[in-house]
Amino acid sequence: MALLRVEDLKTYFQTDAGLVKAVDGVSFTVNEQEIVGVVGESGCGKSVSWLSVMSLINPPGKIMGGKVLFEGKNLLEYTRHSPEMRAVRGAKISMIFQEPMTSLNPVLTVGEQVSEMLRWHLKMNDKEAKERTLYLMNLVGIPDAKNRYDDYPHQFSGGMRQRMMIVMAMSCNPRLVIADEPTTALDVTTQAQLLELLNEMVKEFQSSLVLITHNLGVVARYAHRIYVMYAGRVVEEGKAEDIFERPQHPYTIGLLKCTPRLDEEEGRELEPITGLPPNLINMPPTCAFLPRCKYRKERCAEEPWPPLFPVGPDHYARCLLHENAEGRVNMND
Amino acid sequence: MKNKMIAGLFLLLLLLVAVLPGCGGKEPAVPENVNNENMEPENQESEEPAPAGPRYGGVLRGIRATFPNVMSYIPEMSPTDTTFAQPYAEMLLKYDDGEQKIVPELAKSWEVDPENLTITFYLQEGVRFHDGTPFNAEAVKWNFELNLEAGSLTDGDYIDWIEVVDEHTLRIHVKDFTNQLYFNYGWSMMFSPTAFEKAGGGDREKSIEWARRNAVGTGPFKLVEFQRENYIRYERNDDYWREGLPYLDAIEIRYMPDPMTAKASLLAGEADIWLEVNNVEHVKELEEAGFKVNWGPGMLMSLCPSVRNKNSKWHDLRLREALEYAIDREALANMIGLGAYEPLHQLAVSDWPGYVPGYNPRPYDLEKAKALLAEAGYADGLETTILCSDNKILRDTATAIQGYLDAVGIKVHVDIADMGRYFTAAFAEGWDELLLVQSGINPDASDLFVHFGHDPMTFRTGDIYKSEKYLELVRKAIKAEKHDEFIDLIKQAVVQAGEDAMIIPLYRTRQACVMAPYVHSNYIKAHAAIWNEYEDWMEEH
Amino acid sequence: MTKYIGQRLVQALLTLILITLIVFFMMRLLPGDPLLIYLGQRAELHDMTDEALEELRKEFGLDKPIMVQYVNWVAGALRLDLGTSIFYREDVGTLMKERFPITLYLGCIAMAVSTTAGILIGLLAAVRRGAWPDKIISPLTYIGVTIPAFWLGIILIYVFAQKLGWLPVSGFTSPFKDFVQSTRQIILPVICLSAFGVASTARQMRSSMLEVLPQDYIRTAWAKGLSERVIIIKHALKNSLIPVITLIGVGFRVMIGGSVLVETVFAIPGVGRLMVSSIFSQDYVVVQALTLVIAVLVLLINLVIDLFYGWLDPRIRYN
Repeated sequence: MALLRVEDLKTYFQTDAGLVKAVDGVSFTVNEQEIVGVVGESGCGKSVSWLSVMSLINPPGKIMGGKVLFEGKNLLEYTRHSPEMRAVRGAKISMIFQEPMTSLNPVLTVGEQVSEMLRWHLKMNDKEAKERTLYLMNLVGIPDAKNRYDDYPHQFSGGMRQRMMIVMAMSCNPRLVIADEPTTALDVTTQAQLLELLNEMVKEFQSSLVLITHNLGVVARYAHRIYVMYAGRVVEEGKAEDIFERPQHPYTIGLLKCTPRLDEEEGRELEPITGLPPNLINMPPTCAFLPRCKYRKERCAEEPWPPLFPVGPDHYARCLLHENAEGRVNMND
Repeated sequence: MKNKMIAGLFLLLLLLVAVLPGCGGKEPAVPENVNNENMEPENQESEEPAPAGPRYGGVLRGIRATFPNVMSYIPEMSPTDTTFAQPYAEMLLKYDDGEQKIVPELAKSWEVDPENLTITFYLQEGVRFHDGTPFNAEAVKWNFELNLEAGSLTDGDYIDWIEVVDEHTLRIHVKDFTNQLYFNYGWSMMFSPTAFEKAGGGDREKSIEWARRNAVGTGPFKLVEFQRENYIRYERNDDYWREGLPYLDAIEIRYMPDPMTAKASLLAGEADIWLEVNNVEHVKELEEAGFKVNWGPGMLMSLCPSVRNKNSKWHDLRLREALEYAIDREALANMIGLGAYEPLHQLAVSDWPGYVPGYNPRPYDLEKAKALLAEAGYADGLETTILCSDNKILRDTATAIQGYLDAVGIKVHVDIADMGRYFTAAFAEGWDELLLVQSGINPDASDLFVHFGHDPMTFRTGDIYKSEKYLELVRKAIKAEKHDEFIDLIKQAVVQAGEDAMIIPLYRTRQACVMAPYVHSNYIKAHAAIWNEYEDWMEEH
Repeated sequence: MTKYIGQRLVQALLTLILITLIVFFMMRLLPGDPLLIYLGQRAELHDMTDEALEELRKEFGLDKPIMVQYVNWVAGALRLDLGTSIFYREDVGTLMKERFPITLYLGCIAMAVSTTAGILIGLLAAVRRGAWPDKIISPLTYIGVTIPAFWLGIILIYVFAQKLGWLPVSGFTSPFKDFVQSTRQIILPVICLSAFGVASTARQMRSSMLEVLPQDYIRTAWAKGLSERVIIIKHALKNSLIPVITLIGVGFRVMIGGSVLVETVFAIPGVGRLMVSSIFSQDYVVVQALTLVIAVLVLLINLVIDLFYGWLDPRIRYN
């Protein structure tokens, strides 16, 4: 059953150089207790679309249209700072950001930064809030939590800080956690530990998780379903195994070819995708991936960017190759 | 960003527009919000009833841009201190504000005997200091001796000994005679010896310390409060020796160094009298706004060429003359003084006893100036420096002179010195080229000796050119026994100084005292150091 | 923390010694002689003789070699004996007792006003960036930092005292003597003294707040669902105060400078005016003593600010 449905979300930025259509009509679905991966290069709109879900877009950005349906309400009907929206943020949908070094307030103790949420949303008193924070700190494996409660962020390592971010995100028992590149800034070992922890935590709290990353490898292990984004739109969506085993969009194929996998035989040469991501200002109406596409046809330059075509059960791709059912691609071709 | 800047500028302009008309002083700024009970400013001038005569009572609230430091320890008192001491302390003699002569105060008469070298003062009887002790010959002697010991009595070295003839007669025996002596001795304030001794309890240092902050004199008012550089308050002396005086209950003076604030205080009705105003513009504005103005004597402004170096070019009379010919003093006085200053062509102002009517040796004449320069061998011009202090009037004057002299080929560098360097040059070490100075004017012509005499107290002896003829006249003048003879010699000295082009007299500045229409005071008409405050009174207001 | 304070104290002491040296020798290097100025101002009454000059020189110990004078002065200062003013003929300690409380009283009020008002105004401008409060505040702060204190003083006097008659033109009354009158008298001087402080603090506060607001941790705070008020006051304010606090230290120094003009315009018998007249009359004794005391005050304020930094920013506290 769908916990969250995002429909035709559009978020634009009015910059001096022109209108940037950072998110231009994306739709997502997140089901109860589901782990959803959102994959794409930086600048493809994956973070912006989820910040939009939280109504955390700052000027000059503006949500131009769409719906964010959560628990039967369209969150976009609430203004950014309305009490209704604030009651959702942190309590029902929480977020973990990419930069553990800068995402914690340097002048407040780590404990306080969690407790204040508990007092705010769950109306706990100081003692209850501190107890629950300590419980969560223990749960995420912060050693000596009692003493570290009053520490400041600069006294924590990057990994520990990200654990604190997880504590913060889980503190009010949210229905959905959005993790925006939660491990990118960390070293590889810590990355794996944290992903495992995050996975455990959402299971423990029966929450859903949106895992935003540029790294397919990160989602491979945990995600149930995956959205691949390019230039502000979803180009392919499907179950994780479909995406990895039967990718249908040339961009997804390109991504997979340049991602090392743990379970494959050695010796495969990684192929980078040639060219650069498009400039989002004044984009042509045609397929945005066209200049970098290995599979392009003459028609691609004439037709507008197509809609998502079904390419299998619960599997869609936004490419003219799939205009009709014969177009299936084998990535090893 | 740009928009914000423009908005800011606009606001600033609005502020300016709102404020400037008032600053210009065009609108009549009669004090409206105060003193409005009995005074209708509009009708004040047209229907002013003749005041019925002096009225008793009231506190006169004065403001002043200078303030005293020492209340009654005479050896350390400056002219400013003396000015502020007038309400509570008196001298043996003083100047008369109307008749330009010396009149009795604590001495009811005096006798100068050049033959026997004595000066005798006959003192007022029945005068008491504020502490109740009698004012008598012993007290006067004590005051003189205090001054003599400290070496601060003018012409003190002439004194041989002081004799107390009787309770009210004091005779000073001198070693040599000048006609300035009796006044120099008579121009000395008298304070209670008993109070001084009592305050120290035998410790002289403690007495002096006390006298710096306190005073017990004989004046019409008593000193009751003194806050340094802030506030001074005098209250009526009910036992004053002049019967029925003073009229006022009290006088208070507040220190107000900024003239804009002082003006605002008068206009806002927070002060009744501004005791010394040097800026003519402010005086005229206030006059227009309905305030009364007493114009005081002001100062004599002159340019002094230095001849202290043997090879100074200013030894050459023709060059000094050229300077005088080159400066248009009518225009200069008018420009700096806005019509209030008197242009000068001699070492005397027109209401001074030694003034020589019509004497103007060198009226403005550029051709003559150029010819004299050429004759002296400076056909191609010369360079010189004017030293002046950092004061607006002096600066503006120096700049104007720079322009005049440039027209005859004299390139002037204006050297604006801070007070330290300026005083050092004027009073101690001397200067090299030209010095721009203001000197005080005394109604009895004694300032000639103070500033330009054979042994002056100011403007270092020898730095200006004084011819033998001039010096002889001055020496003779100071010894003259008769007043007519004295005046005649002074006039001769003034003419001789003119012939010698000793200094270049420029103009006489004006100082004013400005008061609300209901105030009656003669202050500053004669001299800053003469305030007959016992005659001052205020109408109901 | 103790080590941190210790280091600061040692630095302060060294600065102090350096300042005394500079002031002592600078005053003496200036051309002119305070004794001549003193005598010169009394010249119309008394003869200026070389003996009188020598006498005075001896009285003030100015006949001794300059190094001896310095040592004597420092030794005196350590005993809290700052000497006797040449010009005022008064113990400098007494002069300061008369003057300092007035300047400090005004200064403290002005500091409090400029800090609180500056922070609040800057905060408002930053939080409502681009909206009408910001559009009004920003140009006003431009004026505030550039307007000369004496000019502002004259305008304030003209408008509020002379034209409207709401407040007295000038003067100072002790608040213990007449609190109402005292307060009415200090309103305009305090506005004058704090104009620069309010404006510069507001500008600094605004820009520093604008720097903090886009920070990741503020986004985190939003994501936590906290209210704007909590985010601004608890999460943003403390972080953005750090550069503002530095400015308060500068503001104190500017205020001492400003008191010179403000005290002249408003006829307030404070220490600023004492400083000016003493510099003009080259009264070494007073200038030296005042500089010393002001230097100590400035160093103390800086020390307090350093400690305040530590309180604001745990990264400083623990390093």
